Amino acid sequence: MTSRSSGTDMIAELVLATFFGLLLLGIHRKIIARIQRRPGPPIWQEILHMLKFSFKTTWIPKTASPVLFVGVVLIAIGIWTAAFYILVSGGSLLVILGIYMLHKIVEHGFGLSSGSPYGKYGGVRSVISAASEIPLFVTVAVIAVYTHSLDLSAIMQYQQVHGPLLIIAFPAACAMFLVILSKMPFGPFSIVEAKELVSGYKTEHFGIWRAGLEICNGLKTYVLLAVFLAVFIGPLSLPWLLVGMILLIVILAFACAVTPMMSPFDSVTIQMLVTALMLVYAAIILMVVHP
Amino acid sequence: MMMKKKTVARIFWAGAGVCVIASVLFFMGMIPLPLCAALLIVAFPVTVLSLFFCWMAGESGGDIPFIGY
Amino acid sequence: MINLIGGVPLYVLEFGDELVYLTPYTITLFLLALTFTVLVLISRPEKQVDIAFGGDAYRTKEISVSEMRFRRFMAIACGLATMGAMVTGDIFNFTLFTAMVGITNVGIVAAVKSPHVQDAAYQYGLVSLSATIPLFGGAAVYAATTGSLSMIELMKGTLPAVPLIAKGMLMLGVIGEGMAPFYAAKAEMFRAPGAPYVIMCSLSSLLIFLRVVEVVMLG
Repeated sequence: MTSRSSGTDMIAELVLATFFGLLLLGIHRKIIARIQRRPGPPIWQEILHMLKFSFKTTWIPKTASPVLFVGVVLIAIGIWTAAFYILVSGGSLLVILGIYMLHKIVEHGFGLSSGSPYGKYGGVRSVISAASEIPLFVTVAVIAVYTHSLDLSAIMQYQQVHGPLLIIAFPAACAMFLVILSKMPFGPFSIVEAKELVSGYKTEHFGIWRAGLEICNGLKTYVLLAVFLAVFIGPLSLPWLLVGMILLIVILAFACAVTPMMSPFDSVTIQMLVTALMLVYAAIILMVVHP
Repeated sequence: MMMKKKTVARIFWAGAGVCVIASVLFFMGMIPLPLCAALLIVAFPVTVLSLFFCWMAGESGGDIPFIGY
Repeated sequence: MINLIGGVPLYVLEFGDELVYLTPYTITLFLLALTFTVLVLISRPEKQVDIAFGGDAYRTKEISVSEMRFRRFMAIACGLATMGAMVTGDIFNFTLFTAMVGITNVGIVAAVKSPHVQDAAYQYGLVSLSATIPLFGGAAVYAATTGSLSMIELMKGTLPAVPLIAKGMLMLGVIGEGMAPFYAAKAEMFRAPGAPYVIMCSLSSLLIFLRVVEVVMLG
């Protein structure tokens, strides 16, 4: 988790992170199923899922915009690869935040490029759910007030001296948790892939395209959880990092299992409400901690 | 546009080559991290997709349903 | 208060007052804008399928080539304006590029023959027009209080501190170009066919927002 100099095998780490992220998604599904008294799939189901899709027949729908249809899959994997390297090099939190927001563009690309009405509505909903990004900005602002830097390495150093930000800035951690929750499948805010839209933005991306999207999802889950731990707990050794991520996914799974999926309107209202609370919190922090 | 299995396999090996060479060079400290990351960001998605295309494709001529039907 | 987010400028290009500078952060944003602009250039629009929900009827929309040609032009203009805003080192140029992004965003969907989209574009246009007042006002306060609009000068820390109101106005101006909570009209604009072009609407305001976060941290 600390800044890497030479001496680490980057591609191996990337592949392992992808598979571990998929495993985390599998654990997520399993726990949700057990809470809902279903047997649920095995925890490696998401990995199998990705492999299954990679063997399926693949083509491009006749109505699709071919370059965008394919390009967006490459971009999806590419941006989260970039986020992964920013994470391992202890780079700027703001860039990771930017990539999180760019994922929305990827969702638009997936949804709109096929011409399918279901995909289109998934894309439109993903614009609407842009409200989930604002708590993230406030979180980042609050962290910057404490640590005077937005570099992940500096944030981790700060926590080594002053203790975890989870305790110092608990509301910010809650807001960031909500942000991660809104990107989790089967969660209360996952309106972009609601079942009334078949599969939302990913309806028309099947076969290899979907396998690529699964890889992106695995990497995304890994990066988001690792960033949460890095920002709010501090530097962790690899075994503890993995344990922390599993713990976090368990909490997320509980949150997803016990809440129904909201309507788009309610989802946005709640996110806006959280934003307002966070703005008040940030204003208090700015006046008290940093007058 | 039809893609033959051989073409896709070549793309895969080229992409995998870039990935491995970049991370080996970084491992030995010969290139800085940003350069290594930039190479991997470009090469990794291409490698993954071409790997999938490569292993799902049949051997016989134009059976690769890449773009076109 | 906070260390430079963007990192140390790697390269500064000066044309008199107009200067362009690149930091690791702005290079990343610039490359993203470039990628999507190239995508707009080379990709053909999709054929949107409409269905009547609850029934089996569906039809493919027919869109004329001339309409798409105009929209592609607007999308490329939008991409160029975004790229400009990413690398410029001058606050006034930044506001100009931002205003241009607002105009081209309306242009991208203005040619679509759908009342929903036209309404949304009109509403979005009104919001982004009003947002240019705090945007240019913010730049004016920057110039009035520090005597400079150059980000390089602001970065040095020798100028008087920029008042919070100027930063707030600049931020508000950019948020008005299509960030939450002013993005509601934008969601309707996404009904328009022509995915590669429509995506530029969303991408441009997002990238400009990410850049303005860096800009307000200076000085």
